Amino acid sequence: MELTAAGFGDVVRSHQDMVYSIAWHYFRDRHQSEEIAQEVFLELHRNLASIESDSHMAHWLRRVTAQRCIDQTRRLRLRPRSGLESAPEPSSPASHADPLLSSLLARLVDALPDRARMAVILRYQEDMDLGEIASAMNIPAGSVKSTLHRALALLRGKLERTTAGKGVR
Amino acid sequence: MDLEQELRQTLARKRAPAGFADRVMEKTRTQARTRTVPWRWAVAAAVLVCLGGGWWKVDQAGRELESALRIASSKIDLAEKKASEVFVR
Repeated sequence: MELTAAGFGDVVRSHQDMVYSIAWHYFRDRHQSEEIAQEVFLELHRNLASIESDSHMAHWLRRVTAQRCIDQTRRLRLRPRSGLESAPEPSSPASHADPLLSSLLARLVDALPDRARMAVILRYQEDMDLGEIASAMNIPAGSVKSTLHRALALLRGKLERTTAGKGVR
Repeated sequence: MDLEQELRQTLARKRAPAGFADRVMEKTRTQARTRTVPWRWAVAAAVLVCLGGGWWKVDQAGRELESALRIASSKIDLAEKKASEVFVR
């Protein structure tokens, strides 16, 4: 794919929320998320020739962002920080009215192991199916399925204990 | 409570910080500049090596010429000495 500088600027603007949000939900750290998101777009700029279409670009960006987030955590042994007070604005208005539950759930997602956390983010932020997540994370689809299953069971159990009395489906 | 629905809402996309795209574009320009600099340095280094090599050759030729003149001069001295000996006899 060949793009002018202005064309590449448009690409960044149209995908920046997606890339930044994956990194944000993974790290919960504004500085770290921006750094990773910038590196992803710089890598895209170097590899534009290998991009065949818009859908290929979206898949490429998700894959590279997921890999960079996991690599960065392994390299620095970073733990996500729950900087919810500095949380960015949602790109579309939230429809639910329970910020406390959302904040609790965000902290529980933060506590998941690296791979499980990324699988949950790709599944529920990006609405990706098992095959797409497997391809993005470079692991078998069966592993994604079991990882998501365990992660949901863990989240459900912790939510039930925390919000005793409310049924969690 | 529907956990999957709650996760979709909790993990909804966030807005990238203001000026994010501009910062990326600035970095792509810096990246392009730093990618061209090594070529310039490589060309400059090659020119210096050529100039250095040329100067070394000129210097070497000069020293060889000086040595040849010194040998020629001593041979002429020797020839003059022999000639004067013959002349005296």
